[in-house]
Amino acid sequence: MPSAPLLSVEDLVVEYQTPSGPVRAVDAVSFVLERGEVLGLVGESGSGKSTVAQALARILGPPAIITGGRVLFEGNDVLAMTEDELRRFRWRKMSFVLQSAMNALSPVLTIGDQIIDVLVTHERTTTRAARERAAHLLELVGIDPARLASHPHELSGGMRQRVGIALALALDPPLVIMDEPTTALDVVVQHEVLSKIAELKEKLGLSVLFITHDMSIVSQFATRIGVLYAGRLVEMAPTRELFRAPRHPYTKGLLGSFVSIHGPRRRLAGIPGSPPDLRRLPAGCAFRARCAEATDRCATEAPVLRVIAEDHPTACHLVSP
Amino acid sequence: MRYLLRQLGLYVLAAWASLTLNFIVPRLAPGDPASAMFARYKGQLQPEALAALREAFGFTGGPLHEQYAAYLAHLFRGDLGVSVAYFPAKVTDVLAMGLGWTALLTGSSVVVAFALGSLLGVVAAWRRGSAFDATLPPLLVFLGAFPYFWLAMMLLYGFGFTLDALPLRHAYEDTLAPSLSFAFVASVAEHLLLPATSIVLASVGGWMLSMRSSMIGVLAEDYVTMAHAKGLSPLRIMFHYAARNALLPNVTGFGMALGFVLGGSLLTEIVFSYPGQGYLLVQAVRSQDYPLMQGIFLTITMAVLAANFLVDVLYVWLDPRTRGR
Ligand SMILES: Nc1ncnc2c1ncn2[C@@H]1O[C@H](COP(=O)(O)OP(=O)(O)OP(=O)(O)O)[C@@H](O)[C@H]1O
Ligand code: SF4
Ligand SMILES: [Mg+2]
Repeated sequence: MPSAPLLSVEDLVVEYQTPSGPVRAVDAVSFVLERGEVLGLVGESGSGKSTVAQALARILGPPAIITGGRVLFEGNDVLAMTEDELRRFRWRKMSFVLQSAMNALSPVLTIGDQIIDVLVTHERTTTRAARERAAHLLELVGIDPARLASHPHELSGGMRQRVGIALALALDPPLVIMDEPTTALDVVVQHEVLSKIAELKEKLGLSVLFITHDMSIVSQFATRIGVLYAGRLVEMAPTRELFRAPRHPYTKGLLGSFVSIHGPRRRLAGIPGSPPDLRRLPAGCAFRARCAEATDRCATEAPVLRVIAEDHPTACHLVSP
Repeated sequence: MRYLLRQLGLYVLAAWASLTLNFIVPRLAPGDPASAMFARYKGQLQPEALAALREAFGFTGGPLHEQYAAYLAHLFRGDLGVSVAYFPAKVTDVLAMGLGWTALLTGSSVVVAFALGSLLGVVAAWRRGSAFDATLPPLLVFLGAFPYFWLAMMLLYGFGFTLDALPLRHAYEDTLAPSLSFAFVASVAEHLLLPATSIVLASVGGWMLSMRSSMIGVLAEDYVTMAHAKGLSPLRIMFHYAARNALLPNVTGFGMALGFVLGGSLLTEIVFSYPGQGYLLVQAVRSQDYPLMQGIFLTITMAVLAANFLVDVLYVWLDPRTRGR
């Protein structure tokens, strides 16, 4: 199916089984990611960004369970794959750069071991050929290949994150999922890693799902942006359109707290109140308690995602009468 | 490397301190405890033996620093005096006999219990919530809750006495002379089985639980999630990524257990009349064999220190983060 989009997610639902009942961390999320696209996924801490990301390759461990929806990769249903099929799919088709460079690499194995094992597992190559390829990958992200013999603790945070990127590129996958790849880094290093990602994206024509809670970062990269609130997608639009004409009050709040790409970087802090407790979601709109524009209708009826402008779905009663 | 050398220096210092304490403490007691102690041996020991003993412990009557020098000199020559209980055998010879058997019994049991317990813990954590995980840990903890000598006695009664399948006592058949013959080795193994099993049964649950809990912590780490995402095989993720990291906190406990190996498993050795350190210690106390007791305590101290050093070496080997220090 050459016409199928690279990734298509339909009504994905993920629940965490907790002693006090299931917590719906991802609720009916749908989106499409085309080849060559960088899709940004933004939202506050706890909005379900990482849960969505990990559900895509089914690497969520217990207590998380995918209870509904479909994940189609190049037209193949990931949720229907057997364990063997999944193992072959992972990393070859979809790789990850995780939030904390600190913990994404095992502290007791060398950098080389951790790049080489994925090469040897997926491509029937010799260890020697894999080592050469690993050295080449490190060069690609600007790290001395001699570092293959180093352990993660011997590298700085920025270097570790670049190793993470090299690792993600090891099998030349069509899609790389970057889950807050720069959050744990200080501003200067953050910038350095981001330009590396931008450079590689151009060079290799990557497709990326870029997760962050920093609007200024995502605006530099993403072709489209999805906004997640309490496990639901509340708005999605091409980056320009979203910045020019945000429709959802939450998105407006996010953008209001963001000054400009060239101004100082700021975290999402401009919206009063805190995200709702997923175990006790209120009736109606989950954002209501923090929404300045809420009406009576918002208390009783949950807004559904509707396409209100071209390629611009939004879930808010204000815009979908 | 510098870290290991520094640790080694520390242990040598600790060893010296314990030797010195050993020298000072009897001299701090009011009166003349040494004479009182030796007086007890009068009649049991010949005057020459008594003199040799005094010599070995530095009770020479000279000034303190001379006594200390004499004490250390004897110690370094490996002269711990003669045993009273096993007169006229030298303490070192008596110890050598017990040490071998204890190292065999307790050493092999500790190693087997740790390896088995850790493996079970890894699997239980990996299959958290499965039938395996729900039944085995409680069962083993239940077994471990019994006093270990009670387990020993039940095994002895069941397999040794009622079924008559395994020998009741000693380390080998009395009719055999120690040699490397097949018959002797087989007899040693046969005699080892019951006491070793009782120690393993009593301690495997603890190892399993601690490995299980550190493994559960590690399984939530990002690098394990990463390993899954990389499409590696479950076995590789379980052992190479998870268990290797989960093992680290348990190495300390293992080292401690190894250190106390030479103390023997007192009651197990008594139940099975196993001629190890624990058994010797009881003999020593019974016959107020002060030189032998001191020899035993000395070996235990040294073993604990050596085991600590072994843990340090193991850590450097297992955890690269310790190497730079
Ligand atoms: N192990 C768990 N047990 C129960 N609930 C969980 C668990 N892990 C996550 N959750 C719930 O799922 C929600 C989404 O978590 P997730 O990690 O996906 O958020 P996130 O958007 O990635 O946040 P962050 O920016 O902090 O990384 C959280 O609000 C939390 O309540
Ligand atoms: S639906 Fe109502 S409460 Fe929710 S964002 Fe829109 S206006 Fe605010
Ligand atoms: Mg996250």
